[in-house]
Amino acid sequence: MKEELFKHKLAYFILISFFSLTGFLFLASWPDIYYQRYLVVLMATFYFFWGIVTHVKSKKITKKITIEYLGVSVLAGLLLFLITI
Amino acid sequence: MTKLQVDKSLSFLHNNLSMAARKRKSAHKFRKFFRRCKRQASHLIVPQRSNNHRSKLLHSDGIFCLAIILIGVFALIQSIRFFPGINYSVLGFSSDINIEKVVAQTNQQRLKAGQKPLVLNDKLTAAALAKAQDMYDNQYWSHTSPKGREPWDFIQESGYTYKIAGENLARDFHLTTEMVQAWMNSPTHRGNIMNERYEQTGVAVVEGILDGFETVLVVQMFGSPQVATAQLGRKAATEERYQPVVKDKASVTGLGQEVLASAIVPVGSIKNSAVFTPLQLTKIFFLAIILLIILTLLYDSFVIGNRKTMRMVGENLGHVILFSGVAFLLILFKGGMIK
Repeated sequence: MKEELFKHKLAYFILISFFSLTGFLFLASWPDIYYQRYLVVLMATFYFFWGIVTHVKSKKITKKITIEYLGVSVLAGLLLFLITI
Repeated sequence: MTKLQVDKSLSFLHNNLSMAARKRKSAHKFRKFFRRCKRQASHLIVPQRSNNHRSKLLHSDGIFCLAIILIGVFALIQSIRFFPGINYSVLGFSSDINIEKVVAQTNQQRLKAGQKPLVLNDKLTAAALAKAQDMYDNQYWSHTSPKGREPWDFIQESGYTYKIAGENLARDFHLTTEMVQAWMNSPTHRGNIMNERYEQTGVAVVEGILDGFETVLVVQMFGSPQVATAQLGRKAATEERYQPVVKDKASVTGLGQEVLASAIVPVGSIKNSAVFTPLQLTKIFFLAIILLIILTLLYDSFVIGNRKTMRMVGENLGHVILFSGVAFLLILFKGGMIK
């Protein structure tokens, strides 16, 4: 995992920065659950595209990897979306 | 030995052997079942040839299965309201909100901004109580009732003649501070609390069942009387203690206005013997799923790192960061709704 981090420093920096920002907005927008839901969809969508772009740049993209990122984004999005219901 | 004795001994031996064989067979079946479970668990968690050197749980079909299980369990928790026996023994709601605290914290916010404190008014409180009861009776969560009754209708019916009036609503909060903070975070609700034109307030904190779940509704009415000296308010609700009223029994306010109440919260806290709120139960289950995924990701990375196996899969570190962030937000997520 350390090797992954050093290989894609910029990608992980962008990922952590974006999640920190949206996480802060998610907590700050309480109790506006509609705004929180928009943020959840945004976070899930961002992660999916982040994964695809990272793998395209490292030339390691396959259909399986795309579906994996889609599944992980959907699962993470669902976890936060359902809690706001 | 006679033939009969020999037959008896043989039959006894045969029975013993059959029992031993049956015991061996069931022990063998159990060992086989245990080995199969171990193999399945290993296939799910340990990267090996059978799962293409990636924990099966982390394959896309494993992830989608988890998502389906998540939705299923969430639907089950939400449907517990339809089973009153289970609902009231497992799920419930506890809150430390009371009228005194709401008024005190509202006035604290006003004083911080240099505004005059609000005075608690009986008629506005009766209007707030009538509104809370109406929401439970007609099962709605809105400023306007399904029959079109506005907050001002309740205020007028209580006999309060207002120059200006407003209403804040809240539900599903455990702490008064959180509730007031939520109102202050919302521009419209903050506007009501900080409005310098309001002089008086009325608060109702009523426990009941809304949308199948136990909750506490808080209604705060704001107003200024038409005639400044007409209404006498009190600073705190310490003298008059609301008597608990049995459901469907009418209690009469000083103005002859009948108000039905299922449970009026006495000054103090509502304590519930139930174990969890639906939100807590959901959080616990979701966090368990996230913990399982994170541990599997870390174990997968550790095993593959040691074996130095090359494979084309998603970035485990990215997934760990994502789910850790989700877990962090889940833990800090607060319930409660305002209107």
